[in-house]
Amino acid sequence: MAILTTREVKGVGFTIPRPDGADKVTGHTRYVADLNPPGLLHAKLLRSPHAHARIVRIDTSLAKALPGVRAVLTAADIPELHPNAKTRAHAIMAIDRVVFAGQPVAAVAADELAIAQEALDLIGVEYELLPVAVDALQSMQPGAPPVADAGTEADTSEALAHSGVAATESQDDSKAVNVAQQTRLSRGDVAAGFAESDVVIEHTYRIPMVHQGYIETHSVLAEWDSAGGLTIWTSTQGSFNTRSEVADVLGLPETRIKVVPMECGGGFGAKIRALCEPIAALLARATRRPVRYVMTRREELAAGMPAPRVVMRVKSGVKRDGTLMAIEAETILDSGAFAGAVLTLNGIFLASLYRWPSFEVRGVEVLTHKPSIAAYRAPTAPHTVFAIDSQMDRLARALGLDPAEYRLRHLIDEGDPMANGQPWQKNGARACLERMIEHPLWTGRAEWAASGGRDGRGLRGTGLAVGGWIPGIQPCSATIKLNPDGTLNVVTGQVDIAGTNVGLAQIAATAYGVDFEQVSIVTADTDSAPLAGLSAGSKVTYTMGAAVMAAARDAREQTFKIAADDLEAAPEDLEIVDGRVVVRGVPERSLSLADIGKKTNAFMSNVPPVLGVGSLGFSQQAPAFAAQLARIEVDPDTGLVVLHDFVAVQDVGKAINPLGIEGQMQGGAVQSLGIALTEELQFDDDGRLMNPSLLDYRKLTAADVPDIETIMVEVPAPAGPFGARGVGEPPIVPAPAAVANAIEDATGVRITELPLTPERVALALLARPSEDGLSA
Amino acid sequence: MKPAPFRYAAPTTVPQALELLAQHGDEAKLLAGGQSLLPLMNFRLARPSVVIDINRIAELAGIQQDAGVLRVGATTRQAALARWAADQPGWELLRAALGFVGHDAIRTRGTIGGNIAHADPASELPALLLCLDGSVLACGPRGEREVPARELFWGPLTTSIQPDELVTEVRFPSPGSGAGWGFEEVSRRHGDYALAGVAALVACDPDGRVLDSRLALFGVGDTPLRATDAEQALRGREPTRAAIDEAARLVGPALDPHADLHADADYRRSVAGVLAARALAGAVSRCEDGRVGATQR
Repeated sequence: MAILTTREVKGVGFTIPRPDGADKVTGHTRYVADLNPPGLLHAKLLRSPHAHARIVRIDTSLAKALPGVRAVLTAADIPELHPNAKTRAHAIMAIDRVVFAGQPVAAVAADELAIAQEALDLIGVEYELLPVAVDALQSMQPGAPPVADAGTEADTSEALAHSGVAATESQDDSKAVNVAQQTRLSRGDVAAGFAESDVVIEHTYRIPMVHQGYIETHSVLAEWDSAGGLTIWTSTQGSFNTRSEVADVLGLPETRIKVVPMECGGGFGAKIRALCEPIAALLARATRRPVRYVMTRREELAAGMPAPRVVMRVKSGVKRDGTLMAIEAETILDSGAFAGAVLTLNGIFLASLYRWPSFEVRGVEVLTHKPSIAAYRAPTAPHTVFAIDSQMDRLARALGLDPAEYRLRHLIDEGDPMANGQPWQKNGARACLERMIEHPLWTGRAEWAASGGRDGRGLRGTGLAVGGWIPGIQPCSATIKLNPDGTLNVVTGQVDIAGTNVGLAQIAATAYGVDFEQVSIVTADTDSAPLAGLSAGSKVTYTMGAAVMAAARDAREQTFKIAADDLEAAPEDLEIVDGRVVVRGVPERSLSLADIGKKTNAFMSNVPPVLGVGSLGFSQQAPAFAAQLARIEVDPDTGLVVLHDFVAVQDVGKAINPLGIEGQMQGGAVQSLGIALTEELQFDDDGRLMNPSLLDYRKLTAADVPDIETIMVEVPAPAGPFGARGVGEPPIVPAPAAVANAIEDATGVRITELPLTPERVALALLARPSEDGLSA
Repeated sequence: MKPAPFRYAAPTTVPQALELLAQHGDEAKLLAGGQSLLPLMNFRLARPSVVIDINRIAELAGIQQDAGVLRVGATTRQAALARWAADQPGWELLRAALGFVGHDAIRTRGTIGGNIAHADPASELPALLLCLDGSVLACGPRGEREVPARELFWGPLTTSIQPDELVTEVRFPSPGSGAGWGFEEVSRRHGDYALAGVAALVACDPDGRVLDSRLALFGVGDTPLRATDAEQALRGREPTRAAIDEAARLVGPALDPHADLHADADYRRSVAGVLAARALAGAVSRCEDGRVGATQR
């Protein structure tokens, strides 16, 4: 889809800082929590302290009597509420049974937040405690306490929306209690493969629930107009999706709902599905006032929608020369109280990131009495790659082979079959790895290792890992109009959660033929914008970028048609130079874009306005990969892991805005390192979160990570605008494996459970066989 | 979350503050830098009915050195003391300890007196005070008294300061010019509370034997602790690597650390011993060659 412009403009490929950056860091950006319409009420939710209990009685009379309280709602007040809620959004409030600690049981709207808070203390709820299933392994056993109501169907809509890679096989029979979904992918004779293997390695990998950690908590403001129309201002990753979900939950036609996507202070997948919109709308309806609900950090951690806990048992067998023979794996994914996980990508990466001739991978999604999950940036890919990359690293070490060369030898290429039978599309996995192994930190790893363990220094090691994601696709559309002053306005419904509007302006600029400063991108509400998809699945630039590009080309053609009449030239002989349409080779025959814009807006003019439209569907996904390297030092006596250097290589297809991509690569790496080193939602045996604050739930900060070196490689995506491919998700994937590989490189010890806490590392070192007198 | 309702008073003199304390007793909480109290109140783990803000009592802030004792006013900010210590020979241990207290933003608000009086067992400054055999000055209706660090810390967040008393000053005796120091801490992230930490001081006689050794631990018990067995084991001996290791081995078994979300008891016990050996070795190296401030590791 190359597009020709006749001269270079400031567009695609330019490094452009985010224009909204200054407002963000100085606090001028307005978020939902900053909206204060007249008559605003503040909402609070009373949440269950118990993970599993029957609600015997709720008494709201005292709360309702508190001055300033305008409404108190429980399940009994919400006719839209049904048992067997199909999603978390539909389960606005617990009806007669709570299934996780933090589930709402009552809602209050009051004149002030403090009054709403006070009212919660006045609501009496009598619970009858029920047995709790906290651990997935326990929860999937026959006789385990049930999580979902009988008859609740597994909801796989998010899995499908997010990835688009469908499993070839899934089996729904033999459903154990609390098992929401089962998948199985297999090929060849696994038993024979293991029988012919010389080396078989089996490990069980465990990754706890982690929280996405966006700075802005879930926030929503809802207001009804007198005609029965509902407007929702919300922090969302997809305004049309929010509209559809709210319409479904409340039983309203979509035309009656307007979703205004506000500035989104981070989502990472947790703001795809509706969460607080329905209850805010119901409180607004009950009070006939605008109602704002902003979750606290504590509520986010205890009752948000984190990433699942994942346990994977992986067994792989190879020949002595390294030939891959068979892999067998079992994944248990703990989704909390509501289903909706992506399991297929887990199977695809386990079985077919490397060329296993025979495989059998089974996946099970299990419900437990914990907060239900949502997507988190390449959902389950950091987990899966932690497992498969650790296996590859171990196999290489067991065989005495170079771990990077070993991966390169067996890594997939374009055309190789994925585990579901579809072919791998063109991708840069190999290019990333090849670029990484040239890096001085990799070529110098032996010197680094040798420099450790002496002069009071810790043990030193280097690890790398490669992983990625298969970004999603979703139809979308955009319009572009030429203004009377020659500037351009692009309108989309695409929420900008990552600086993508800068990239869209660059695409429009290059495709139309002007500098990006001439282009303004407007993210419009659901009444005004053409349909757009989620800002998720690493696909905004890939899909909306293509739509904007098509719209800009359309507008360019319309512009040339108008100019051609005026300049008495054929449209194909025209070009745009410095904001003027000129006849190629005859620079004195020209018309400025402003002249054209004015003609299309002049009183009594007969020239139609330039309105470019791009409206596209997509069928081809573009896999996106990254390789990351960690150079570390392990203090063998305390187990402390110190990161000295970190390098990220990523295939970006074509860097539309290199600065924006660098930000994605660094931000993703920090999140990935957090999963590797510090993050874990810790639940007690009763299913209560023990660390519901950022003091105890540890995100890495700038003080905890070294500078992250970023290197981009460009393997063009055939269907991507200018060859661009998704960049958001791959950088969160490889670090847990890279750090675990580096720890083994430094210490000889393999750790298969995250996070890699000092205590866990110290215990693993204590357990290792005595060597060089370094341990007991 | 926001705090439960409370009344607020901002006295400008110590007698006014004491009068308010006398009036409200247990119901009142003193607000200094607010770095511990305010989160506790926001989470509603603390619900004082009266908050007495002592930040406007001018006489409570200030730093002066007086006959080998550093007298620090209770509301002196941690950042201010760190700036003072930045170029003061002989106070390297104080400087090192302050560097581990939270982050810049916390040290800018957090006070020396508040940090000591809060008595978090995982906090650096209480252990430092114990290591230096320091004390606090407490004012109350019965007058002024000096409370030695050894008699100050009773339990987690609990001190011998009475509800009607106010800590006005923290006194850090100088480690002495010949003493070497060591400070070691393991935490999960930069600025987090310690999983275990150690402050050490060692002074040697001209023959190179240990005259005095002090080892204060934090994060490994209900209060900051002195490792007296280990201290004793080193006194009078030549501080060889073996002697240090032998002394440090006495540290762990004497401890009864708690297990929590961040580490279990065995880990804390083990790491306390490791850090004790490192802190002592650091102290000895600075003591022996007389180059105070030499870096270790």
